[in-house]
Amino acid sequence: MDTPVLDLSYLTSISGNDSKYMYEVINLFLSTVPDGLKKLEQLVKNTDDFEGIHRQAHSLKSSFSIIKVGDIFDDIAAIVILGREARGKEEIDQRLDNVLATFEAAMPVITAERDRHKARK
Amino acid sequence: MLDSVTILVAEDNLLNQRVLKFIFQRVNASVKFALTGKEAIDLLEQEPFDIILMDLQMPEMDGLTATKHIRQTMKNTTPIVAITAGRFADENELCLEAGMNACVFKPFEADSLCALIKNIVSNNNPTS
Repeated sequence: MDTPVLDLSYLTSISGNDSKYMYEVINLFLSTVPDGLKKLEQLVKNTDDFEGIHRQAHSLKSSFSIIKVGDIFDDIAAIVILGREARGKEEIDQRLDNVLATFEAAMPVITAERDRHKARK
Repeated sequence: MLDSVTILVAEDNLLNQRVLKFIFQRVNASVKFALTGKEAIDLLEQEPFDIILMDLQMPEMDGLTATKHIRQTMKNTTPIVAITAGRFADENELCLEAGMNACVFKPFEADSLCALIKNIVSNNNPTS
């Protein structure tokens, strides 16, 4: 079975599909995660700072465990491990490209879901 | 379920903060947030809490360092539960060695997290 573009099942389960809460969390996700991804991209593309890569990916992993976007969680989790072990720069680079492409493609879906809950709250 | 229980959460991820705030509001717990281990220590110096939820990885001061400070320097015995997104084999052991009481993994399952907190707080303060 294909991984869904956007999986809000965790948020739905803890909130009882409360639209006010769903809107608030999705909005917070959209206002924090793109900057977090840019920081990770900067670290991966321009440095060999594995510790920094590990820390930034770890922070993003938390966010992508709450709102799942395609296979991003798996790629970020792998980057966390590689960063911690200070190895696999080429794999980190490839996985980050997957993350950025998946996130960009999913943005309209995430935004639409946020707006749907905004209208219902 | 957690009426009047006071919880200090040290967590730098705003999404996780929001999730925890929602979970604890629903069970009538009182919660305060710190963004770093240092902020958590500062808050703990100002007022007592029934329990502390401590993220392991935070800027300025991580959760293990903050816990060691709380236990060894402050001589404070407030129960501390580690909250972590990592699942590295040595993590649970490191948490217990630092003086934490338990370790839970993100994302949080609301009922089991509240049950764990209730259990730890009750055991730490049998009259509550």
